[in-house]
Amino acid sequence: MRSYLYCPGNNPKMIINSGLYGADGLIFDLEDAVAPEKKQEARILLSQVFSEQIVPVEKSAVRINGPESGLWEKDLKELIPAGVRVIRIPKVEHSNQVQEICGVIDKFESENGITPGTVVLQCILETPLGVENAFLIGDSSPRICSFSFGAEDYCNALGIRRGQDLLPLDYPRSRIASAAAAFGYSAYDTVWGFLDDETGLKADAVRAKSLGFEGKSLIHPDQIDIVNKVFSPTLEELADARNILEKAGLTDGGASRVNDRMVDRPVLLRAEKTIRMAEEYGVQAFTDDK
Amino acid sequence: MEKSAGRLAKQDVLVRVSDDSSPLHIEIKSSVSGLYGRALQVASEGELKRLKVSNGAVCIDDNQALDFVIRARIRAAVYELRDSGADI
Repeated sequence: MRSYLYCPGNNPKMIINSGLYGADGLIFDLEDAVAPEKKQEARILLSQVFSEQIVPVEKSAVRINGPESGLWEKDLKELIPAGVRVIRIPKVEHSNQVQEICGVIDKFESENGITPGTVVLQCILETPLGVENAFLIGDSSPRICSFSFGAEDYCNALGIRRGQDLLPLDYPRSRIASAAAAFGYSAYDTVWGFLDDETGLKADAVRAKSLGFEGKSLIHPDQIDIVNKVFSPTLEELADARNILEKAGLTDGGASRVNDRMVDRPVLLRAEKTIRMAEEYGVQAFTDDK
Repeated sequence: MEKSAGRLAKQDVLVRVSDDSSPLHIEIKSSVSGLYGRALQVASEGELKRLKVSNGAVCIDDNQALDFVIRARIRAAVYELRDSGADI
């Protein structure tokens, strides 16, 4: 997923329209976007949305309330029977928080006749403790499928002002992306909150991609095209990948030379991934000179 | 006692449910009642029947909500009323 668009979980109009903008994935939010006194009606609204398949369920996740909120079990009790299969957990800081949540998911899967392990987790790491514990958290459950970075709380904790200076976020981003890769998880970058700053959004996304992120979470549909483009293979990358695969196919399978570069297994794998992404996202430059 | 769910925003519905011992009474107000009044009534009655609500008063202020929203808001209001101890 290149783009994951957040949508408030208690707003029917936004929910109905959420799938129309071209985001690769959708996240319906029960946490920050929903007032405390509206949590229960938002849960019920989302359960109706999923059970009636009002949104594309296969590309939709729900951000539940955090491990310390006292609300997440009620969220899961309503959502899992309704068909929600991807749960995004905010403010994860310890592996035991994930394990506790997994224990409850085990129970709800069993009670509802759902194949064990069907429900998967996206963990948001958004505090210094969560970032430092990324590897331990990643190792805590086979249900985890991705990490996301949440920069706002992280910046608050460190007294950093979020903005054009991207350098302060290189460390947490690298740590999260590396821990995710260690387990084969996807890594999704934090939201960009400056809605009128498209240049800043693009720079932020480019930086995240360069550090190993697969995509980015978004808070407004206007951000989708920019982010999709950044996280898609470029024409140059596609041409390069195709060239590598063609030339490498002529060798005996060991390391070879393609133009000025050594090509070995990691390079081949990366080229294959670039082609797969191009096919998945509809980028067609790789057929240009056929 | 009265509980509510939803709001009067576009494509939403405000549902208010109150408990009393009289037979169920449903009042529906909608800007599109001419076109969709019957569908609104069917959706509302169906959800209340599913929830086994047979007494009390239900007031539905619709602002062009789809059926799934109406069902969700009715369920939320009824659950909240029941959670507060009402017999409905």
